[in-house]
Amino acid sequence: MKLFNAQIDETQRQLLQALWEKGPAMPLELAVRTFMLPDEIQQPLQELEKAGLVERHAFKGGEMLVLTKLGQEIVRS
Amino acid sequence: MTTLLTWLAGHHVGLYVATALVAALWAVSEIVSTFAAQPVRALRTSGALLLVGLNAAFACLVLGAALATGLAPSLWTAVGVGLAWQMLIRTRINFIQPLPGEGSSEAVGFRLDEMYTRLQAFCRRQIDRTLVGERVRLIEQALTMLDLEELARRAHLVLAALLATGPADPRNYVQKILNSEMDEESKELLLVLTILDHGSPALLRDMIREAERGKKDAEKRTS
Repeated sequence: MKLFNAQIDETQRQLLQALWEKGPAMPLELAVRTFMLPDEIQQPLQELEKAGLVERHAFKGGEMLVLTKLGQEIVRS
Repeated sequence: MTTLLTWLAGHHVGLYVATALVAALWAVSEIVSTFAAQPVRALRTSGALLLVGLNAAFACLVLGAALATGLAPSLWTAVGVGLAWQMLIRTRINFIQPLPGEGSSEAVGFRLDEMYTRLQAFCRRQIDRTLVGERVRLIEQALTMLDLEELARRAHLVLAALLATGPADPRNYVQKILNSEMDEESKELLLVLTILDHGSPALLRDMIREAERGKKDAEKRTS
């Protein structure tokens, strides 16, 4: 867990925190929650997905970002 | 009538009702804390109803198993099971009579736990989907009714009171959106989301209503 924490940068930490505090969100909502532009969160989000901390769920109107169990543990630690 | 009452008393129906009520209340509190931003809307979804019903049904199942092992049929037992049934199936306490043959109480407890966890996750996804669907409809309405200038003005007011908690200052966010190279529609969308997320859905609904009223008044004046 400490290893994960060390590898997460400030932007990624903010994204995880925003998902933890306000629940699942569409990518644009997540950008707004963290006061960033959509382009600015694209790369960090992809890295979080690769690390298995965030996952995308498809739904009728688009897709939703959700914290995985591991992601939740990282935020809590 | 008397026969029915005797039957109900004989089968501890009151205890099952008490357990179901406590478990349902527990589920409601879980939903409210999970969807703290929109608790009432979350509770009105079909996923929430299903989760509450599921909790009540599983708790009754656990109460039935507990009574079958010889636990005293009292109100305290019913309330206790209603509160702690999730813990009971998760810790696989040996309260269920071992089944003859290959099945064991632990296996039954484990399967119940696994089944409940899956169903619970399904219900939560349903609630998420309904809430997101509602948000999408509200956003579409706002984009049709409100213009960039009005959205920027309101978003600025909403963010003015927020304090910076990260590297980005909320108070500069509206300007950041307006200065970006995105097209006008994308800027409007981000501003709508800003009002929705940092303000409230109610505020956005009020803005839409105001704009509708204004549009009607303008139409009356021209006709």
